[in-house]
Amino acid sequence: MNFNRRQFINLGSTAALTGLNLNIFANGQSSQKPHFNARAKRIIVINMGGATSHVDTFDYKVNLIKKAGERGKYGRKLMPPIKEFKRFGKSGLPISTLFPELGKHADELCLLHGHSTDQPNHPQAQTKIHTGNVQFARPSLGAWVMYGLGSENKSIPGFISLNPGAGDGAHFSSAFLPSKYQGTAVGSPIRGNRASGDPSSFPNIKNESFSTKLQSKQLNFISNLNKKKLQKDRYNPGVSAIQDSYEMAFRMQSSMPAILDISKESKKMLSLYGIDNENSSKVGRQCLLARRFAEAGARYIELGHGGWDHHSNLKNDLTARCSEIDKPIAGLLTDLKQRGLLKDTLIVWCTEFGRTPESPNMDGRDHNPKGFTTWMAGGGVKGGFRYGATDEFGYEAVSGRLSIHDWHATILHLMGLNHEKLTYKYAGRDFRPTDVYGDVATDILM
Amino acid sequence: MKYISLITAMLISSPLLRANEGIVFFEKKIRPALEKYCYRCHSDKENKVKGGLVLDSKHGLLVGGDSGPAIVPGKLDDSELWLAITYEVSEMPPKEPMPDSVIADFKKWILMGAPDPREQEKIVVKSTVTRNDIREGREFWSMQKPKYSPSPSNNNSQWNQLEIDRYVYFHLQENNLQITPEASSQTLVRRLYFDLIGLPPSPGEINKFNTNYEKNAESTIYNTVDELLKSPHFGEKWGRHWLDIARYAESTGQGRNMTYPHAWRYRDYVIESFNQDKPYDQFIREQIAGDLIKTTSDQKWAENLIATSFLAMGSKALPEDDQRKFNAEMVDEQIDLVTRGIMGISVACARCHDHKFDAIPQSDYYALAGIFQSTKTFYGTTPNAQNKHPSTHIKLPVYMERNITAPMSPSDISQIKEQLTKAQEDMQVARMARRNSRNMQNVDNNQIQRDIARSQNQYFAIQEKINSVDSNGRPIAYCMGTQPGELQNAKILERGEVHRPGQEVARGFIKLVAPYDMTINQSSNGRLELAQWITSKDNPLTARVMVNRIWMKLMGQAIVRSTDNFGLTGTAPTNQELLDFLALKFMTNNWSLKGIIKNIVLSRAYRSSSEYNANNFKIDPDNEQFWRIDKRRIEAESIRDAILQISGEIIISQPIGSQVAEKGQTTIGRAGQLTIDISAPYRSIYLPVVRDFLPDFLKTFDFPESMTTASKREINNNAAQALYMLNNDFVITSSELTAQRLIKHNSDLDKQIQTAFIICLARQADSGELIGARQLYQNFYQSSEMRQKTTNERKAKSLAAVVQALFASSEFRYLN
Repeated sequence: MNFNRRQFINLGSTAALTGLNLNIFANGQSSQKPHFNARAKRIIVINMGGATSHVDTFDYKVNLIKKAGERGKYGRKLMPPIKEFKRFGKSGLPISTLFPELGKHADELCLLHGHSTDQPNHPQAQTKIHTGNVQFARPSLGAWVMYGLGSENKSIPGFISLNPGAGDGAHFSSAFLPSKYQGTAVGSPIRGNRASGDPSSFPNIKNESFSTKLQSKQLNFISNLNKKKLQKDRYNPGVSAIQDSYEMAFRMQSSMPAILDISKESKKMLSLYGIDNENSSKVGRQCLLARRFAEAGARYIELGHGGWDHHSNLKNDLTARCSEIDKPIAGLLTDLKQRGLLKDTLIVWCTEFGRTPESPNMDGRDHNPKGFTTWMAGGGVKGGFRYGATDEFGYEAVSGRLSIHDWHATILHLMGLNHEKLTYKYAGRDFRPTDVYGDVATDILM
Repeated sequence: MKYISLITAMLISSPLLRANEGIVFFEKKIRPALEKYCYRCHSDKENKVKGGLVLDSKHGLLVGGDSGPAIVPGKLDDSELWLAITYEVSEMPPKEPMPDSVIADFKKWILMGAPDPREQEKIVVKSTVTRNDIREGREFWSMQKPKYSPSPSNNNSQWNQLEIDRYVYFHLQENNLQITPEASSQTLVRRLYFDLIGLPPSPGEINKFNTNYEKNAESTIYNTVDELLKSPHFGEKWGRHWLDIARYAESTGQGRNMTYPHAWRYRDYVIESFNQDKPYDQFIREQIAGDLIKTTSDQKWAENLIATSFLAMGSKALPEDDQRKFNAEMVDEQIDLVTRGIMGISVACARCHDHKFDAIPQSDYYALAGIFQSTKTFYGTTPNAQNKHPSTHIKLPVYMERNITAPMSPSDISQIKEQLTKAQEDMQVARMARRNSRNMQNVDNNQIQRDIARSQNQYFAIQEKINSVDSNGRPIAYCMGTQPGELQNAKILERGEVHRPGQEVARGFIKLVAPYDMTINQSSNGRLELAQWITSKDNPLTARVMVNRIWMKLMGQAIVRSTDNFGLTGTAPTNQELLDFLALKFMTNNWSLKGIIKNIVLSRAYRSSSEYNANNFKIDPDNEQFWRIDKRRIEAESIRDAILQISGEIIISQPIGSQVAEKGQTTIGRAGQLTIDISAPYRSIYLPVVRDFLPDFLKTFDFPESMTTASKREINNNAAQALYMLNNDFVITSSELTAQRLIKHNSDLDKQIQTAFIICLARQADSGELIGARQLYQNFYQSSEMRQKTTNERKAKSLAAVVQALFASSEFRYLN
């Protein structure tokens, strides 16, 4: 465990500073044992909103180049990838040269080509990859992980969502799970673009009127009021969420400013993440914060970038998007590796669906839920590895197929959780994250 | 002229040869020039269509851009492209003119008749939705007219009085759900006040209610409801729900964020309409077609014009280069508003393809689009470099009592006119500087641009001032809104792409939705007919959608959970007899909103406790059958209003205008140059709603983004809110002001604490809570950091800690 010392310091300083009797927060998050031993202790999800084209980035289709311009199966012209692919690393994984930096980490990447989803529209498909269910309000994967594993550091939220979009509450909601497992949003987006907001400060983090010591007394009283109300209410996620939110808020006052303050990071470090370059600085900042949260003991961190819905102007816009994420994500992998954290941190890069091999205008691609690619790295997955495949053009997953439930089951497995045993009783029924589905892709395990 | 006759002669002699020659000339001279000098900014393929002009197709050249056809074959002076490349009217390419030889080629080519081989295929967009699909789609429950089913009577005296209760009771029995007891009178009084006027009851009102309730519960509720429905605050509470649906905001958002300084008139119109209990069908008709409704007075006409702001206040991307795209977006936004916002069906996805689930062909979308394309939308915003789509406002036909402009004296007017002349000169000087700089070196172009922008803004600001009064100095009022435009039918756009127009569609309605026999007289733009079609009693959706939303606001859950989606992918009603009863009742009662709200709050179902019942929870955890009332998080506005009322700081009267109105037409900079002052203690509905810069309190507590229509708010309870309650200055100051009020009122600490509980939670503290509160008070009072303060300050701050804790408690934020 790398974090014991830091965790101790954090807790110690909180307690010392406040003279707070920590017992009042006895029901906060705490670390639990996984179902079985696994390498991954924490997870960083990098989510591309708008559906990244798989055939232009990670799913190399030689036939799309050979038969470019011919009619595809939906009657429109096949469009070749916008930029050439190259074999990277010892493993020789074919990756688009849109990712010159990320390509250097090819031997760490495990490309999953066999994805499919049943949701063809963005908002629903995004909900699907987060909760597995579009129809009902269900806990997000992060909340399930928190429920299964708890937190390593009680003074920060274990589940962090960096710059979530407005109206994306379901992506980090705990639904019927106890509300202490819900994600905490850090930073908000501007004009719907996830990576645009600056997450480096948290509003109202300091009380200017009285000391933390007095505030802890006040919190005691609030807590008693809330608990009394809860006793009357029994099942009420809203009310219990408020109670949990105060406990978390109080602890965050001492922990968050330090984590969010990146001013002490070296120039070299900022450059590694591409923060010194306006083009990549926004995603870079998120990636750096993700590492800082990971180091501080957060369990589940999601970050992301929007603007991948390229029905037209694919060449320009996809090139721009890729250049915005290439260095930051590569920097994150490098940094985690040099700190010895990559082996027990699972990196998941994902998007809600793929894009069609054929094009309406030879510079754009439509939605393709039947086949798409995500990748993983670190945390016990095979590096330099390709799992599953789409057909010769990239229309449909044909082997190593992964439904969203399969993918969730696999992620949980990597975290040491058996998705069939991770159950929660709600309204007289046992619920689990994968409903009645889910097969773990055991081939990708190290 | 000689030229032309010569060419004509050639044409006659050998048409085929000539045509070929023309094409050869185009390929050799013109196409390379277009590629070299023009495509970078005017090409569909490059997705750059500045000025709405594309030059990479024959169609694009002939249709031209915002300023007219680029090429009129054979006519140099009518060809915008010619006037531009010769630097006559505009100057293209902007940096330097093309070489003279290329200009000569263009001249030759235009006079040749502009031969262009780049023929575009004719686009015909086919639909896969058949008549039969539509016929079948009409069988779906929500497309059938609401049907009255007699309410089954029962032998429970409480649940057999009103039809609403009989429908609910029947379902409870069917599902083996137990009856939940009535809520206590102190729960009810708080529930009624927040639900009907969005403010907490005062201690006096609580006391009166509780006393009367003990004597006669029925009459007490009845009288209280009556009183609250008459309160002017009713419109402020319920009007705000409508403003969510209307995606009300006072700026454009998106890139160049410019203000809508007259939007507040619409806000007040909505509040007033709810207070007057304007029939909902009329309310809708005014908002969609107020400018087309005949009226008997100018006053009423003005009101109707203001109502049409509804269509105008959507978010807009002012920097968009392409006029056609901009218009298409605005029309799309308007279609989404009237279909999803009012009828709970999403038609907007039929912009690009047939609706995947409901039987809505793409042509239906463009039938509606034609209506809005034949409409002019006025939303203001002054021209500037990044605003490619400035607009104006509609001048109201009468003097408005409520006005933010002061009258002007004749000397004021002449003075300001001088200022305008001066500003105009400045602007000319700045523009001249740009012109002169063209052939100079070492020019600070940025400075020149800044000067132009500054002088231009200055000029428009003064002009706005002049326009705000008539020649006698009396204020003139304006509004946003719509006016009839040139009649046109929309063309179906292939995949919704503006540069891929297909066949034309006559203006009309969604064929799936009744009344089926209504049509649009093709000599009118159809907006009034649209309003009538939506508010027809034969329309199966409009009434249902609205009563369902009202039920949700009052009961915590809707009968159709997907309140904006009554289509195939939405959820089915959990009690359709009840929903249909409410919809029919609503319509037969002259679409009275107050009437339907009153019906619901007087029901036994509304009076149910929110308490947990293990048996019921097991059967119906999501409360689909309304066996209890859901505990509801109070909306952001009401949390803030309640704090302001309790601290005594609230200004309860309606302010005139808004902070945005006072700023006039301007741009909100990236750093929020327009600072929003949320400390102005008006009710929250009067706070400025600037897109991307929402007041932080409201934003923290889940206020909508106001980008699209939304009837349901997300509810989050998170650490950001907790930190707001613990640390924000507004909360801390309000707590201290409340404490000072309490101390003034009574010197006894226990009484102060008890009153604090009553004003915050509408109940007394129990003994444990009282002890806890006293202890907290003492902790503060005795602490070292309080010691330097005066006794009075110590007392106030210590009591304030208790009050703040009550504000922060979950009970304060929730309705039981």
